[in-house]
Amino acid sequence: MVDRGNDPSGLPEAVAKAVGQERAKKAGDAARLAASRLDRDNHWSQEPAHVYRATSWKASGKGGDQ
Amino acid sequence: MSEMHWLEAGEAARLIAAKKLSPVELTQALLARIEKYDVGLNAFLTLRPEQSLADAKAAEDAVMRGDDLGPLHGVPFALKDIIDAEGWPTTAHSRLLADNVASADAPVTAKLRAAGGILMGKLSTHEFALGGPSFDLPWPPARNAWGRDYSPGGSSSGSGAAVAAGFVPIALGSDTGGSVRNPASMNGLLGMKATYGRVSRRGVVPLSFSLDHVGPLTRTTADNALALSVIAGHDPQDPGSAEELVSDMGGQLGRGVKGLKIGVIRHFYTKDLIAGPETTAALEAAIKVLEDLGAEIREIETRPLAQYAACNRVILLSEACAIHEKWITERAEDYGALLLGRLLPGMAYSGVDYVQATRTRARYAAEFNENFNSLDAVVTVNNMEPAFLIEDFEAGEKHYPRQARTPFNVTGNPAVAVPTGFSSSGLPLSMQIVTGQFDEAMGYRVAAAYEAATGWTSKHPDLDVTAAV
Repeated sequence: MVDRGNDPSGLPEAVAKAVGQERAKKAGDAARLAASRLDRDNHWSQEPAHVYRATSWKASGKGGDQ
Repeated sequence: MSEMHWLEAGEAARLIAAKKLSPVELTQALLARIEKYDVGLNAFLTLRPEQSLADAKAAEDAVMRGDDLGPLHGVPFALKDIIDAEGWPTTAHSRLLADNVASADAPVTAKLRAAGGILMGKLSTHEFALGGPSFDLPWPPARNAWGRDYSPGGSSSGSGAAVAAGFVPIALGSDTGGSVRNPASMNGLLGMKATYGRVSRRGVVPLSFSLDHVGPLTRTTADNALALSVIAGHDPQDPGSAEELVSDMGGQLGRGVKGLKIGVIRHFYTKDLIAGPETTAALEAAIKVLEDLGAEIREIETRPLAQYAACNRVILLSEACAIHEKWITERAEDYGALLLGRLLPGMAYSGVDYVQATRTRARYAAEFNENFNSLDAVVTVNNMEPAFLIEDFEAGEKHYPRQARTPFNVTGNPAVAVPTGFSSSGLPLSMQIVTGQFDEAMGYRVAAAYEAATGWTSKHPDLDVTAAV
């Protein structure tokens, strides 16, 4: 189970511990940079382009409770 | 028959059906070539010559019996080692899956076999289709058939090397941020990332569920269209699979480009990033060829590359880390250093970042697809430079972000990598032809017209020079 408490790097503590502080800091810096470049100018009603759409339930033959 | 290794898949299938070519002799010839040259290229992770020859013998028997034959009957192919083939290892080129054996064929594998294809082996990849070229994994990285000191690109590295080297005429790769089109670019090949949902990803080790595509690498446009026609189609067990019917992908080959309206996205390589002069010159020459063939060329503008790249990165790494979270925590030491470094930022994105990126993606896709109300195709750059020296880590790290492929993983449009010639050092150059959703046939039409006018795809590396150890 991953400990969700965040390390100063921004990574979960358990992950930072597993990979070491140097890697964690570099990863956190890279994540912050990409996130800062993300275009967030979405209208409030704009839905995600997510793979799991209603047609997927129908196409997959699985129930809608998944 | 001389030089069987450069036969096109379609031509080989025709010769086999006409009893002018033995599938056994073809398979033997390619296995001999692999044995001789792959020691310098490392394209294959797994070969089973006896099994491939047995399959070729069965194919030959079917020909002699007069059975109905599929479009790839007796034609060898190979798979990136993230794609399952029953009873074969699927390692993802990683210590983490070193002992993994597939229990069933992926649908794409099953379709190639049903079409008569002969599985030759499993191919090198960047680790889990993201981390490479790496030298700290259980197997060495694949190298470039045009010069073994160079990277073949990736992540479908072995797929690019194997097809360029004449080991197989068709290899499958996967493309999440450009991993079919990058090795196609660096090996002088056709590489198609079809419409998102066009090809099943079931039985393929995932990198990012909502960006992954499986696609073919080949030496010619006709072969690429043939391979995609075989592997495309709805898979009810892949939630991302589209229900769109599969048309004949090669149905428009030979119709030329006269009268077609083709957009050009120049700001990707002249403003957002500045491509190397040889890449730019080859691309501008290609655009001129299309114009001379009768296409109407129009320059268009889209969002800057950096916006597409950020959207792709946040989705890709968030989804990848959802897949790898447990392993990262418990077996971090089993990853190659390059993959671990590339994955980890995904552990730091917030849930809001991810949802914003998926909302942005929908908007970008809708915007970009409006272009195809008035255009038949769009042409733009692929890599900004040719291949880099494989052992130069810094050059590799600089190279990978300098590309224009991720926009079409974000928008889901078909994009095919097409060779545009060679650099002064003899390394392949490439462009992308992008078309409307589910209009892969138009991309192949434009590619075929360009191919016929230029002949770049008829040039092959001399492995006695380029792959010598």
